[in-house]
Amino acid sequence: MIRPLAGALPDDFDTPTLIHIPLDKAKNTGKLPWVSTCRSRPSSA
Amino acid sequence: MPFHLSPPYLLPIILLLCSNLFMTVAWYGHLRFKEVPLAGVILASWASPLSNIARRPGEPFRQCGLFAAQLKTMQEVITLWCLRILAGLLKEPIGWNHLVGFALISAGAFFHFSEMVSAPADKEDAGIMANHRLEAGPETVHWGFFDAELKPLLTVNSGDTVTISTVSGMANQMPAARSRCRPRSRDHKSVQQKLPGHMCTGPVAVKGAKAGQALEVRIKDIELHYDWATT
Repeated sequence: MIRPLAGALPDDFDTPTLIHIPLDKAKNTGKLPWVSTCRSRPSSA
Repeated sequence: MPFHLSPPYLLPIILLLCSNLFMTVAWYGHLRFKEVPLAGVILASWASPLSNIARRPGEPFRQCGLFAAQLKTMQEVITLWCLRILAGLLKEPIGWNHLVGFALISAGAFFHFSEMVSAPADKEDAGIMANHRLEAGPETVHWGFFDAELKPLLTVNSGDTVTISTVSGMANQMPAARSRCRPRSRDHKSVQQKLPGHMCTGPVAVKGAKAGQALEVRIKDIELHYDWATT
């Protein structure tokens, strides 16, 4: 749940928004609506 | 490991006893059995390096959870007692100084095996690390709070690896039915949300860690279970 001014920039979201992100288990990736495909991995790896 | 004995400490002790008895006889047996030809003594002495191979702190011993120093201590104590038995057979006198010496060596072995010496960090350096698994479920998931007062579900040594599964999303955040992998609804029904926040699986305690110490946790891998996420 993305709420206005709660972890989001002021003009990004006017109302609380729920977004489902499709995950690809084989590739270990997620498709975020505002960026290209994002890989799921530890930041230190 | 070709075979397993329980408790695991038993295997090194048996092997050390065998090798030490063999070695003691090989080295000192000729003092008692002077009638045995010299060739027999030499052959027995040559065989002793084979027993040394068995005493090395190799992979099977590592799997028993022993350090090289502990193995060496164990070997020295067993060797001394084997020698003492042999001395008895040779009818050599035993004095109070021998007894005190054995007692001190045994006390040294005790300290070698105490927790004070075998600190968890040493185990990490020695590569003796275990793998654990903690599954998300009604008894293991805490929703909205994760307090140090909670009883640990798992207690691990420093350096161990823990695989923890997680539950994602509230009941009203579930994806459409087309999702191939919906979370188990029983988890949401049975786990009570106590405060706003995330669903956490655990807690996991680290043996020997004290309040105020810094804890280093390395996230080795993230494996996806569902075919959806939510934000």
